[in-house]
Amino acid sequence: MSDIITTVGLSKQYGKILRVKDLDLKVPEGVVYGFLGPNGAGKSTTMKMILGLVRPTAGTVTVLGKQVNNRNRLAILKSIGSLIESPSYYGHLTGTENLRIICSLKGVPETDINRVLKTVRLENQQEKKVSQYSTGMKQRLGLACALVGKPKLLILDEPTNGLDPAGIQEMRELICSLPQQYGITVMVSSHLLSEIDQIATNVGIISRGELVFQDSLTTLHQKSSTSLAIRTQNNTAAAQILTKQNIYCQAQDNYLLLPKLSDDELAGNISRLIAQNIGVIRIEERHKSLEDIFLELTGTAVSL
Amino acid sequence: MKNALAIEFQKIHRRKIWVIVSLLVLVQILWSMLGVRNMDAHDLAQGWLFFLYQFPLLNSIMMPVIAAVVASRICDIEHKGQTIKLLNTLMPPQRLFAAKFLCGATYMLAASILQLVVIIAVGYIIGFKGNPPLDKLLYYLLFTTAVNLTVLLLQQVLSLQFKNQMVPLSVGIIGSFAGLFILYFPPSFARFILWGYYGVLMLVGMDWDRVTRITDFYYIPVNWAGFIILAVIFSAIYIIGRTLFMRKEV
Repeated sequence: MSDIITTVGLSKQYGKILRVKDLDLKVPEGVVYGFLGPNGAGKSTTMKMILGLVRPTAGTVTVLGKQVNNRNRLAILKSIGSLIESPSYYGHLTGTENLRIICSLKGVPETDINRVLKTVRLENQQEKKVSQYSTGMKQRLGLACALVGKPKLLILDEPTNGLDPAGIQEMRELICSLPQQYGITVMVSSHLLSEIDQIATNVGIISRGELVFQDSLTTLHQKSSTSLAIRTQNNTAAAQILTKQNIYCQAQDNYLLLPKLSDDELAGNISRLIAQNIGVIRIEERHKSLEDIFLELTGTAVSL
Repeated sequence: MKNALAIEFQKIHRRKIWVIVSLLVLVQILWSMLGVRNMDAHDLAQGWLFFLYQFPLLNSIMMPVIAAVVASRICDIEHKGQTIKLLNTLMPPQRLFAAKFLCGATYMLAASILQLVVIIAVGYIIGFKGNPPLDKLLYYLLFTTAVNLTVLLLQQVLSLQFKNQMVPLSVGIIGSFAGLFILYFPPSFARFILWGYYGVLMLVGMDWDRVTRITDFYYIPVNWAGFIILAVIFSAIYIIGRTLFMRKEV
């Protein structure tokens, strides 16, 4: 699978502060790439740099196999749809009129309007002025604008911001359906771990401008494997016995942390401890959640 | 470019810019009518000269306001809907800048032509002596349009730079006062402010005889030097304004 977006050493400095540092992103084709990070981590800045809205201080951006520069930027962007921060719209015009402008700008026939309106389920509101739309409808119109002309890549910055739970759910379903239905690669940013967990197949986690994790969501989930914690009357002796059985244990707050064992293995080892007169007081299963990992990686509390 | 201009007109659909332009031109016309109500034979003989003297003064009061409103109506839609970041992914910013200017220029040109038509029509109706001086009227149209477009350009630059449209609108109003006020100073002063060019490029001078209390108007040579300076000012504002707009990160 080739990468549709690659950045090398991408950095952006505002004043003396480096907002994005040496970012090496790789977004594979045909996936939903979740770009996760706490507020102010540099997600929007990065996405704007990919779109050429903000000039990088250093580094390069390659999209669809071409390194983006000032001359080829607009030609490359023809195959990209974007929705950055809040949606862009002309409030005094209707939904259809807004889309007609986008069609003219993209050089796409106006017949595409009905298709995108149907995709975002706005076909019944198309003759209403956009200023009378709800936030959710404006957001969907923004997505419709991005979908005009069947782009190969969608860059969506916090598309569920400001939506109610039903709107969030609808937007998620929409995003998830895009790769299968139209073969579009989606890069979507969010500060919500649970959201990325639900829609993305690949994840990049950014914290204070630095990429701290980038791989498939499955890999991230593997990191959240369960472990066992036991507490005995004599942890030191117990640790010696278990180490002899080739079980790696680690002492932590009166507990011994062990890797996940099968029930039989665990039962055998507990009997061994009891046979040595070491009373086992507690056996607990410890689960490292995605939040714990996120927290570990970013050092910032996750907002849910 | 044709497409970009067509899109600009699509965008300002329902913004009723033509209403504002025609209303303000209407006010100008009514104002000018006040001056021609009680004309005697002497006045009627100088009717065309009188209009060519009076309208630049009216223009320096009202055209900066019209230009400010037109530019603001065309540009503020981009701030309101935060559309510049979207447009920047779809078209070169310099083309957007040019299309916006051409769109506004159409209205300003329409205002000047409308005004010229009214000048000729009113002249005939009141019964000004002699045929309308076509060459002078065409110069008048050229110069009025040239100043209008330069003022419009300045207003567009401001309207694109500032989200709060009170800033460019205030500049427009201040400009209109400044343009009129500067005309009370020696003529060389007016060259130093943009809004003074309605006066600088005037084709008619006035002589008021203190003893007889008779006003006489006379043609003065076309001020090509002033026109060239105006062209230079226009180019400078265009280059600076466009660069500012292109550099703006959204």
